[in-house]
Amino acid sequence: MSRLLLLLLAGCAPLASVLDPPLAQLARWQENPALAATQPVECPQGHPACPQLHARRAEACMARAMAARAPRAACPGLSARGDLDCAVAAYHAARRTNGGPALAAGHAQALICAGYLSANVDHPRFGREALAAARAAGSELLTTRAQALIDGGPR
Amino acid sequence: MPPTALRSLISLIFAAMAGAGGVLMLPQAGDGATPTLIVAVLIFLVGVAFAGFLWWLSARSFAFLAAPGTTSEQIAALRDLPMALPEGTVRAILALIVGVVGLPLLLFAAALGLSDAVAGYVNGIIAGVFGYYFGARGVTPDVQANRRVAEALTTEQRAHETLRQSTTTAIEAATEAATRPGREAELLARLERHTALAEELVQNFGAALPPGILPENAGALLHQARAALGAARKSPPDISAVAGATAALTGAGGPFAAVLRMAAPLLPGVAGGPLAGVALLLGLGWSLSAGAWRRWQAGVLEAPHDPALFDPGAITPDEALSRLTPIFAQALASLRETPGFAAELLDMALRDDGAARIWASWGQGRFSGLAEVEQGLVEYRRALLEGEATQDVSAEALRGVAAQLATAAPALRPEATDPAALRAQPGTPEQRAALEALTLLLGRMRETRQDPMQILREITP
Repeated sequence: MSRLLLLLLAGCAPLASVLDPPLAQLARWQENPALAATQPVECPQGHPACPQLHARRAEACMARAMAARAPRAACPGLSARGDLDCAVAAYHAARRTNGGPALAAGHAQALICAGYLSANVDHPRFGREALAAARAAGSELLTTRAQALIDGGPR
Repeated sequence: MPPTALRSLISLIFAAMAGAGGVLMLPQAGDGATPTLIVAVLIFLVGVAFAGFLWWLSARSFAFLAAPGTTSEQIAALRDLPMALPEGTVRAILALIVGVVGLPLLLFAAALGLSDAVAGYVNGIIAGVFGYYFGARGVTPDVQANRRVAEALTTEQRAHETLRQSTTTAIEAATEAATRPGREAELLARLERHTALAEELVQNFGAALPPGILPENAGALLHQARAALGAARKSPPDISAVAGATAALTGAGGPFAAVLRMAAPLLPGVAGGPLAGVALLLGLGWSLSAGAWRRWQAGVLEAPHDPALFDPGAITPDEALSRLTPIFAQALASLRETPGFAAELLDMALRDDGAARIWASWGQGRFSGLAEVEQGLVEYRRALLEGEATQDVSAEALRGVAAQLATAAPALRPEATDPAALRAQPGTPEQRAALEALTLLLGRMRETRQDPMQILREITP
């Protein structure tokens, strides 16, 4: 009986998957951050776990995209387009409730790289969003890069 | 009847009486005792008549008791009476016997030839019986009055009891009517709870559970419960349907009970039986895991998470595009407007197998061969490196170094702050060797954290 009781009590994560799916997802991602890049966020609006879920997914997607970069390159190639789109969307959602500079910097970086992988006509749109995020992050380098994306020319 | 025959009969009767312990102390039959015998026979007949009368009364009394219409209260009332006859009946009969038999014996004692002693006994008996009888009669009115009072009280108590019962019935009816909405709401809430539980079991867990754990009609029971809930929300609610659906879900055939039974054999050692063990486990799990759940939830939500900062990288696609060297600029001109071209070119150019990648992706029709791609890549990488170096050696950095050397020997004070001016020019091997030696020395100074500015300020070359 004691073993069953322990199983019942120790199994909070499986229990959470039934009682509180967002919390269970957050627990899984804390355990294995890479999972966040492969699973969409399932979180009803207003749930306390949502900000962390979006932030962790943004970070995971951005990490995958940045890992695909060539040495010294600022942005990855076309193969990372999906991860960048994921990062842009997740950073956008995460920054609704968290205005921290780290998230803003990541958002700006993701927007800049996603912009370079998109059609030239879309560069200004990505650039403007990236510029706002870069300013929120207080990063001069990212601000310059975002501005360059808007201008469409070399720095 | 002839006297001889009568005498024989009387003799037989006396013989029987003597055998039964007869009490009359009569002389033995003889020729001179005929009147005495006649009187004795008469007395005997009178006694038999009274006995018959008593028998008849008793028979009526038993018939009364056996009658279907006789109530228990009536029987209880007769229980305290002698021979279950109306009070005084037995005493009256005994008095009559004594009077009817004793008085003639006393009056005709001389004619009967009774001795004075026997006459005295008879007289004593008569006086005693009559004295007791009339004495008792003198007290009887009080007893009867008491009895009537007791009966009146009993009747009153019965009336009160009847009134109390009717009042209780009325109160119960009123209470039932007043509490009906509450009970209906409780019934509905109960069904809702069990319906939710059944939904959880059937819909969420059903697919994951092995076959046979949930009853086959679990879905039907759930459907019945939902229908009952729907009907109960109408006015007036169908309480019978609610009660039926609740009984079906909470009974032994319900899904929850089925799961409990299935799990019960895992806990055979709990006092009270396996099902009690499962119930105990659930209760403990719920009460104990509530705190554990809250602690776990807080731990998950409050776990620290610092968003990562990513290395911005050195070369942007924009810069890569701006530094296209002639071979690549010419060969890839048609691709410049392609989405992601700059980022893709930079990505391939900075990888070790960049030439092969570029050739595989864009080579056909744009380059004469892999060799041209490799040649173009060498040029392109050099241009990228120069651009990177230019970024590192900014005019601002140059101004900072110049400021630090302002106190150095005049020959060591820089004036030009153009980064392009720092590009090494071709020279003699010795000159290049010296420059390389200085570069190595600088690396060493960096390792030993020796500021070269300080050294430069202290020398006079």
